[in-house]
Amino acid sequence: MEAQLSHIEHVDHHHHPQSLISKYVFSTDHKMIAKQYLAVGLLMALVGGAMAYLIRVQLAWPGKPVTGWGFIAPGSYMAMVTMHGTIMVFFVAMPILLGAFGNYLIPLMIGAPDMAFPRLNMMSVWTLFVASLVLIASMLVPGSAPNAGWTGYPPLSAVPEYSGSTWGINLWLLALALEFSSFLMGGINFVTTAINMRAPGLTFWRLPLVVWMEITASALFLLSVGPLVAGSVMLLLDRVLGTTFYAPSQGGDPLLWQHLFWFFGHPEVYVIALPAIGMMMEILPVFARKPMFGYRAIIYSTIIAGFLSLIVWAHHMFVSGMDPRLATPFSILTILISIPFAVMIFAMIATLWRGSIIFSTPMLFTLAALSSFLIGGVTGIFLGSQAADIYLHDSYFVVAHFHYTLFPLLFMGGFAGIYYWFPKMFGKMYSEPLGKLHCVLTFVFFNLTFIPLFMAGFGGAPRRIYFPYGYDFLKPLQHYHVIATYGAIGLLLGQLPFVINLFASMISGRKAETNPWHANTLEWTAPSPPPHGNFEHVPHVVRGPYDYSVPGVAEDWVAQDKVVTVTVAAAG
Amino acid sequence: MNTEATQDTAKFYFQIWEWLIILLVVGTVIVFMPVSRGLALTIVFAVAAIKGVLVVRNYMHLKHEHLIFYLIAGLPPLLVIIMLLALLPDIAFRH
Amino acid sequence: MEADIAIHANAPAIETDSLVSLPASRVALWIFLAGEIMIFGGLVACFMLYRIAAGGWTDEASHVDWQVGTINTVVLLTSSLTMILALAAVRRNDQQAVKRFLAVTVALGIAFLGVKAFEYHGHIVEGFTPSKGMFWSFYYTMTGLHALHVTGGIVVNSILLIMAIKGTLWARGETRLEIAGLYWHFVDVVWILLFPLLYLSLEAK
Repeated sequence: MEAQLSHIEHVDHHHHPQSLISKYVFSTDHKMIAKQYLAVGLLMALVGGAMAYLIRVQLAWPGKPVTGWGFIAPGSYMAMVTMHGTIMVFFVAMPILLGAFGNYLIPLMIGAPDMAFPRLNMMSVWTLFVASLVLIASMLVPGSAPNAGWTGYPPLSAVPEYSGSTWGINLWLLALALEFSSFLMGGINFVTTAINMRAPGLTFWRLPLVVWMEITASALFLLSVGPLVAGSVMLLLDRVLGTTFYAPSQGGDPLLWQHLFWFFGHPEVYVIALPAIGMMMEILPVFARKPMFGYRAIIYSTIIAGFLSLIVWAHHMFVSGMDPRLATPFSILTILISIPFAVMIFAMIATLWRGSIIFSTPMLFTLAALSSFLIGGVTGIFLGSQAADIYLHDSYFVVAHFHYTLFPLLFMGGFAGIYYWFPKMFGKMYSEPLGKLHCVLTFVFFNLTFIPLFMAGFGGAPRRIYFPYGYDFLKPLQHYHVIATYGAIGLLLGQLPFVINLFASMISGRKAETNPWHANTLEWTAPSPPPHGNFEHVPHVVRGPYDYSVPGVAEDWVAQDKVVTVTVAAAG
Repeated sequence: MNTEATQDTAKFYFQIWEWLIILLVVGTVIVFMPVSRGLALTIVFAVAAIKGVLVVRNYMHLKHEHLIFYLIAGLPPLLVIIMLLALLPDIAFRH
Repeated sequence: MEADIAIHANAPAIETDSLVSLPASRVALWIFLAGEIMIFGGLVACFMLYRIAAGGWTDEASHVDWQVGTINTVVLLTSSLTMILALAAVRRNDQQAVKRFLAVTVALGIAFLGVKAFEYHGHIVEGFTPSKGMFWSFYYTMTGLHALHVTGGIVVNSILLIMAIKGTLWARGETRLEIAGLYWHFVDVVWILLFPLLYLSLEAK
């Protein structure tokens, strides 16, 4: 055990008073770094949400000035769409689901005092700060803000004359490069920590599912981002040095970028999805007082899904002009990937079956996420079939599909995690009524926003159209946009209870006990909030994480490090 | 500390270097030999592969490491090859 | 009749997985290298794809000097030798040898960059800039990215050399040299692949 600890860099077990700067700005403590990631993610969510507001109002009432902004020029619209996507995927989802929760949970759940490389951890969050600043700067420089879509397809992204964006897209590429480095560093930390620093008795088959998910996601990110880094360097050089990688007139192929982008882009959505699913799988057993159903099946499914996700990317490219012979194999693999996810969904439902359900805020958000994600998942099957996709590609059906997968996981799942671990992170309880209100508002208005978009897309409405009134065939579909926009405004306003709850509870919430939820995993054995170094003594794990309602045991939960002896009276 | 790796001596490392140089010469010279282009290219890249393996196994001590490192190091090239094969119809053989 | 059943209890025996005994820094570095392999691998794959599409670049490639490339390969291979000898020296506790070998490694790294700069200068003077065509786009990007990695390695090795001279290296000297060495050898292996790709395979008649 001590040998294990000697592998990590020097961890400060002494409690000398830290200056404000060293405690908050230059902290190497994984818990503080996690909160820094959370802060970045939530702040950027405000910016991304603002973009969503502008986009939706423009679409519902095209050409009218938007309250709080004014007229939206066509060029600005594309920039808003680009920034909304880039921010939400790279600067909200990754920081919150991987950066914040991965950092917070992994050491605590494996019984470690900190990450394997605390200073590398600090560097990774600082790199993200810088990346965020660079991205904000890209909206403020001369020339247009980045406006080639979050997917950045050339030639639009490669030739400044086409997009009007010179420094904008250059800085966008730089911001992404920095973000990738940040999460590469983080991912290395996560995987090494999970392999090397587990408490005695914590075998891989006793790891909480969210830890499995975080390290699978990190590994997936590591493996898939490389070709896009190469491709982004190529794109930047096309813009800056006049190289010909994507220039058709000089032997280049814009399609190459699409392949490289989606080779990463598809695994990336599972990088985001898996940690959120993991968090849901931590919450369900606790509030159903039942073990997580199918633990090993889930792990095998996760690994299979992870591997499959690396070879389905071209389902984003069925109508791109790529070789049609590629369509069928990618279509089949895409349909196959629904199987491991179906296993995970069924496992979650089976966990609820005959459980003693407690409708706390984390549980409500988890249920909301589960049901909404199911809709997102099944609509993906339509898109994965190349024949159906010929009609549906680039329509609002796609937009609705990916919002029905991403939003439930990132926001509903993310909120579930924030509420669930709030007592541990901040040592205070949040307000339950406000939390429940937040959940209801989010769930209702989310569905109001995106169900109409399925209809609009099915009716043929294309994406990325700035002015729907410009096309006759879109006029009958316009009412869907109006409903969706009311939903979006309600959704954004519905986040106010959360903001209030977050700050009010942090400041003056009721003091939280060590284990308010009576949960089994190791983080609940540490104080709320845990001190520097987390655990007084290294825990010795003797069981898996989901021993709830074990027959013969008086309490309906048994912590992972608790030794229990049971006396059974046999018949006769 | 990798106790097995500490048994590799300076002399052994020097021998590996000698082999690397020999292979370098072979791989470079073959280009100018009167052999078919296909054969020359095969030898050139086989030589490169052998040199790479020599460095990875002996200087990077992969031969002394737990098998999991072979997985960590071996999975990426496999993935790159899969990506390359999938892109052949589109990028390489496009008219 | 009563039976005592301990549920999953193994309190005295501590089970762990055997992987726990691996040093964290080596695991971490190999994972980092896996990511790097994907980056360079992606670039090389694109090169091969475009190469096949273009039907060969022998015209352009004739302007790339295989002799200079061979010299650079020798330089880098030798620097790998001196780097591993530095590690062997630290294991023998031969501090002077460590400094010597580290210094030579740094010098060889700088020599590599110097030769590369000389090459670039020659090409540019003849008008072969990155915008000249697909071969040159790849040539500059691949060797440029590699040269950036060499530079990073030189910086790391120089820091270790300074620490060796000041005497602060020895506390965890073996681990540091091992990790820096792994990175440096990787940079060498990348060049081992780039050399035939850019200098030799296009030379063959």
